Amino acid sequence: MRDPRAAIEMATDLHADDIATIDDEATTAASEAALASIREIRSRRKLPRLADPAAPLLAVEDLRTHFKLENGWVKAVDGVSFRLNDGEALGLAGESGCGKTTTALSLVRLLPSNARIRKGSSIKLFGIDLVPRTEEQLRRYRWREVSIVFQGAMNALNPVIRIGDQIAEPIEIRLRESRDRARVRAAELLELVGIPRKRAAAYPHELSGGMRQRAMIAMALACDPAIVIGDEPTTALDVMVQAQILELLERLRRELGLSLVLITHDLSVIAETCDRVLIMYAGKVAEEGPVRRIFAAPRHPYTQKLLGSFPNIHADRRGLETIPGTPPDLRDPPPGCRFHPRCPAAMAVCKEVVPPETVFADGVRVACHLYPPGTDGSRLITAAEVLARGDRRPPPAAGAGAGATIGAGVAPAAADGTMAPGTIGAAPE
Amino acid sequence: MSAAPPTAPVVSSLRAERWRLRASNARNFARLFTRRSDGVVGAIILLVFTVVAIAPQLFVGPLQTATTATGLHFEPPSDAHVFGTDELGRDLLNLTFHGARISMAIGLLATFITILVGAMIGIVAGFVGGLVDNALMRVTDFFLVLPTFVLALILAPVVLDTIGFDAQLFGIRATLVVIVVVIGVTSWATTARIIRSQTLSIRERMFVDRARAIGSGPGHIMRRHIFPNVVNLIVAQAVLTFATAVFTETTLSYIGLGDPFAPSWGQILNEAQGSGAPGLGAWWYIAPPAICVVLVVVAFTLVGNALDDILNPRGRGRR
Repeated sequence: MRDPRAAIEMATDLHADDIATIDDEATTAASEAALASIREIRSRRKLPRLADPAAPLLAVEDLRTHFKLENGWVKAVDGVSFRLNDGEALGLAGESGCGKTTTALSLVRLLPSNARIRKGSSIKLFGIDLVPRTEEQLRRYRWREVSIVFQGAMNALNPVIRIGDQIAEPIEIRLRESRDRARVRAAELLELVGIPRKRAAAYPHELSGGMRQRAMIAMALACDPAIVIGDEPTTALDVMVQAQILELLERLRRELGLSLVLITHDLSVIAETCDRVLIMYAGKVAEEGPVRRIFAAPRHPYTQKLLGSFPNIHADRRGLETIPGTPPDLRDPPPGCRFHPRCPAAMAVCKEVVPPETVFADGVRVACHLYPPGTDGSRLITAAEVLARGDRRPPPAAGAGAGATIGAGVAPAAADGTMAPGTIGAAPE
Repeated sequence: MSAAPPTAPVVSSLRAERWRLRASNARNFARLFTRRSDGVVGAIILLVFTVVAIAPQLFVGPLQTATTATGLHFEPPSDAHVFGTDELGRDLLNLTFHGARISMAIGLLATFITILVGAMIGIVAGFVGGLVDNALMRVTDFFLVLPTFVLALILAPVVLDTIGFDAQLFGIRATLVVIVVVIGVTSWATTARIIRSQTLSIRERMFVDRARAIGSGPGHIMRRHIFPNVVNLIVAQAVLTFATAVFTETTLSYIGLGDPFAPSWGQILNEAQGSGAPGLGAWWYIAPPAICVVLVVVAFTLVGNALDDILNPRGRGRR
C-alpha cells in the first residue's frame, strides 16, 4: 500500500479525493485564481436598475406565506420580519415544520404551486419589493442575487450531467458566457471549494457525499450572488465532512463577503457560523438577536427549551430536556401565543392575545408575554426598528413617525402599510 | 479582460479529461456488452443485415426486374440461383438482399417519426401537466386505439392521391411514405405514454427545483434536464419500435399496400402469394424473406435486452 491516502480511505469511509482536499496545499494556490475570477465577476456586477443604494441588502416585513389545501389554508409563515445586512450570516432555527425553509424559499418565490404570499408582505432586496413581481421578472433575481445550497446534494444534482456542466449551467444561461468560458469558470469554482478541477468531468455518482455538497456550494457561487441560502447544507453528512463544509462556507463568506441565510435545526451549526439567529416557532418569530446573547441568555421559553434539548460539551453531564407535545396544526393555530399549549410558563393572557414583539437593550427581540414592554429594560419594537437591525452596521434609531408595532394581537391593522418604503433602514436620527 | 488569455489551455485540458473519461466509459461498456452472448449474437446479425442493406449491389448486382431476370420461372435452389427464382425468373437472393434495404429503411424512418413525436409529446405533457397534459393525453388515447390496418387502408389512397403515385419524398417512393406515415401515426402513442410517466416522476426530483431556482425556463429544463434522463427509455423504446416497424411493414406490404417496384420483404411475400407459390410448392420463394424478418426482429430484441440490462442502473445489482 504505497499511497497513505488509500489506507485512510479504507479506514475512515472518506473518499481519496476528499482526503486530498484536506491536506493539499496546492488547492489553496489554485483557489486564489478562482477567487480572483469571482472578484472579477463581482467587479462587473451591476445592481438591478431599481436598486436603492441606501437600502439594506434584504428587508423582509410581515411575510405571510400560506399553502392552500383542500380543507383550508396552512399558515406556514405568518408575519415574519427580519433584515439581512451585507456580509452577515443569519441562522434560521426551529423544529421541523415551523416555517424556516418556507421563509427562505419565499425570498425568490421557489414555492410549490399551492403556495401564496399574502398581500401586505414585503420582501425588499436592495430596496426592491419582490412580492409584486411577476414570475418572469423574478427570474432575474434567481441565482444571480439569491442562490441556494440544497439539502441532500445527490438529489439536487442531475445524475446524467457532468458535474462541471451543471455548475457551468447558471453561468451559461444567466451570465450569458460562452460554453467554454462557463466550463473554465466551473472548474475554477470547483477548485475554490477544494475539488481538483479535472473532477469537473465526473458524474455526480462518481463523487463522495462531501464532494457533492462542495459542488453544490460551487454551484451556488456560480453567478456571485448577494445572498446564499443554505437549506440544511450539512444534515446528511458525517461530522468530519460537516466540519469541513462549515469551514468552507465560513471561509467563502470572509473572502467573498457573502451574506448567508443558514437554515438548520442543528443549533451548534448556527453557533459556529452565524452572526445572528432567528428562532421560529409555528410560522412566527419567537426570538431574534446576536448569536452570543441568545445562546448565553435565551429569553423565550421556546428558545430555552430548544437549547436545553441540545447536548452541551462544556456543561456537566445531564439528561437532555424534551419539549412535550408537537408543533400545532398550522391550518388552525392556537389563539394567542402559538406556543402556549406546550409552554411551561403559560399564563391566561397567552391563550388570548398574540404576544407583541419587544426588544431589549442588548438587541434581542422576543415575542413573549413574559416580557411586557417596560420590564427588564424591554420596550415595544417598531416595524422600522426590526428592519433596521443587524450586526455589522449599528442599528439606526427608528424615526418617531414610524410607530407601528409588529404583533397582530396588539395592533392588528397598524402593521400594514403605515410606513413609506423610503423610511426602511434609512430612518434618520 | 484579464482572464481571457489563460482560457485556451484550460479549455483544452478540460476537454482532454472529458475524452479520457468518455473513452474509459466506452471501454467499460464494451467489456460489459461482450460478456452478454445474446447481445453479441444480435449485434452480429444486425451488422450483417446493415452491410447488406447499405450496399446490396456489391453482393448480388443491381436489382433484377422482369426484363433483366437471369433465370427461368420457379427454379428451385441450385448453384446458379442459391435461393431459387420467382415466377418471372428473378433471382431470389438478389430480391432478398435488395429487400433488406427497403425493409430496414422503412423501419428506421418509421422509428424516427415514432420516437420524435412520442418523446416530444410525452415530455411536454408530463412536464407541463394540467390542461396541456389532459389535452395531449386525450389525443394520445385516440391514436392508441386506432387499428393499424384500417388506418393504412384509408390513408394509403388518400396520401397517394394528394402527392401522386410517382412522387418521391426524400428519394423514397410515395407508397413507401404511406407505410412510414401509417406506422408512425399508429405507434407514437405508446411511446408518448411511457415517456410521460417517466417524466412525471423526474419532474418531482430536486434537481428540477434547482434548475428552476437557477432561473431556467420550462423549455430549457425539458431539454437539458428531463430529456437526458429519459434517453435510456427512448433507446429501449426505439429498439422495440424498430422491430415492430419492420414487422408491420411486412404485414402491410403482404396485404398489398406495398410498392411493386420496390421489393421489401413483405412485398416479396405478397408477390409469392399472388403468384400461387405456396400452391406450387415453391417454398424457396417464401422462406428467405420470412426468415430474414424473423432474424432482424429477434436480433433487435436481443440487442435491446442486453442494452437495457447494461444501461439501466437498477439492473446492475442483479448480475
